[in-house]
Amino acid sequence: MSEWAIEIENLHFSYGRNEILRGVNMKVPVGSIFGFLGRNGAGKTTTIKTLLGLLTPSAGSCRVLGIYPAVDPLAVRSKIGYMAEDQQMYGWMKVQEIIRWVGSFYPSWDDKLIAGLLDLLELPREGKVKTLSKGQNSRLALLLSLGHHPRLVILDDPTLGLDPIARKEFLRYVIGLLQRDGVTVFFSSHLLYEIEPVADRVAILDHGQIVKSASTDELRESVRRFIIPKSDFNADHLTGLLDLTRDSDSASLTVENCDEKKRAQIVQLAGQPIHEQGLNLDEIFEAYVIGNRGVEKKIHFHNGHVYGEEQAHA
Amino acid sequence: MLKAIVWKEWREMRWRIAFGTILLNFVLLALLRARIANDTEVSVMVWFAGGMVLAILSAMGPFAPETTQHTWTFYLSKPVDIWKVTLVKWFIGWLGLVIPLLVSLIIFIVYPRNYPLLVTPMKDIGFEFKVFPVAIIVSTMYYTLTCSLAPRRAGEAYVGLVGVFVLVAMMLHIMFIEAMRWGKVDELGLLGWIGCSFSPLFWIALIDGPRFQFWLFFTLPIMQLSIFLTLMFLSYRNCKGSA
Repeated sequence: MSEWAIEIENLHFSYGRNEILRGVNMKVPVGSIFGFLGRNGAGKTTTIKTLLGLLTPSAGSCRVLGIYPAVDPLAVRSKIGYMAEDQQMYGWMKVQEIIRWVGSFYPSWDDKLIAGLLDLLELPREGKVKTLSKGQNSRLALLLSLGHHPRLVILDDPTLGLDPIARKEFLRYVIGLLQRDGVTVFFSSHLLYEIEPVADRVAILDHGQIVKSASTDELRESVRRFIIPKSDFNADHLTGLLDLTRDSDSASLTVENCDEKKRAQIVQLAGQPIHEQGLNLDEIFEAYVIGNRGVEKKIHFHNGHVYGEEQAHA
Repeated sequence: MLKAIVWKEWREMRWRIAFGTILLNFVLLALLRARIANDTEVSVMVWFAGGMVLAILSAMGPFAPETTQHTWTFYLSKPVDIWKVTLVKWFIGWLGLVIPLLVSLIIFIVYPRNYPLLVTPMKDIGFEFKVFPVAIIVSTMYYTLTCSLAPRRAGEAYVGLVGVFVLVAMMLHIMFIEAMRWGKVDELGLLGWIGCSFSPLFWIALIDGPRFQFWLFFTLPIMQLSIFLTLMFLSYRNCKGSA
């Protein structure tokens, strides 16, 4: 069996002329909890729908558990559990009915497991789906995605629309239920603090491309922020610069692939002692996605008009 | 698996079917009771006009709610073939016009005939029983054509609107057939045949004309239904990621 649960190579997808995915490359190791990060509209759901065989890519390929979804989508769907963002289910069905209905699609459906999960997730058996709260609805969707012992679970922004407590509660269930049996979890979200405590590895998707893929520890180690107590310096030759902001008397540099050589380069640039900060995943994501790459944009207001002016470094 | 798909579709459509049955048969009974037309005219009116209304109502039932309730993705992320889902949806929706029409046929048979064939002379006493299968076939074609022409992301109201447009197009087309002299459609030439074969009413002209052939009565509807179902499958083949 392959060591990768998901392999994506140069994946392209367009809705008409609108190119959503522009050559996505990504590998998800078997047994990992993989965070798939991206802003709204970055292409996360499109990537996931391609993995499920619900969309056919315009170029490139992907393999899920060794199967090409474009060739055999039913085989892929029978082996994975999927929970869509803000999952809508049939409100007229009772909880037990929807469980029975979904179970009929999977030969490996485990009623014992479901009975246990119903108690664990505190779901009413007789209630109609439309009467469930948002949190209960998410928990039911999670339960439905697990009943057939999937080897890979894909969660597409599963906590969308939940309040902070319900979100935490949901994540607790996810961690408790899925960190077992070597199940691979592919967890898509735009809420970084959600992914941080759970994920082993993350990939950041921006404008249809993976801008970074690494383990969370590696990412925290390699992306650093430096506070320099002066603002008039030239950072043109600094490689891996993700973000640069200047105040009147100080500047903040966020760089990737930070090593001793790069530190030395920054100290030399500053010409005086600098302060180094580690970043959390939220800040790292922000640096990759909205970091200015050293190109500062100054905005002027004049006679009621807004003017943007890009300045390379200083 | 098929049983589960049928169960779900039936549960979603059953009230619509019940509503259609009550509505159609209430109108039928009211017309028979009111004696504003003879029994034969009533049957033609109820089965054809009612069949058209039921066809629109039924076409609004099976596919559109998945779009408006955003449940397509949930449904199709299960290991199930889209063609099975489409076919079952089509079939259960079709029951929404067949069941009310069959109930109306039973009512028509058992209801006391107190006003038969007085106003309009008809060909023979069994005319209603020829009209009934024709009404079923015409409304089936109309229903299937509406399902296949409605955009796959359409809501219920939009499907209804498409149904009305299809009905208008059909009426214009039947006027065309009339203009070309009823019963002589087979003299239209190849282009006429191709154009006509997309109208759910076209084959009536053939079977009701002087050149009626029995095999046409069976072959043409099957051929036309195959065309419309193929159109429908093509339309829904790619609805996988649409909602």
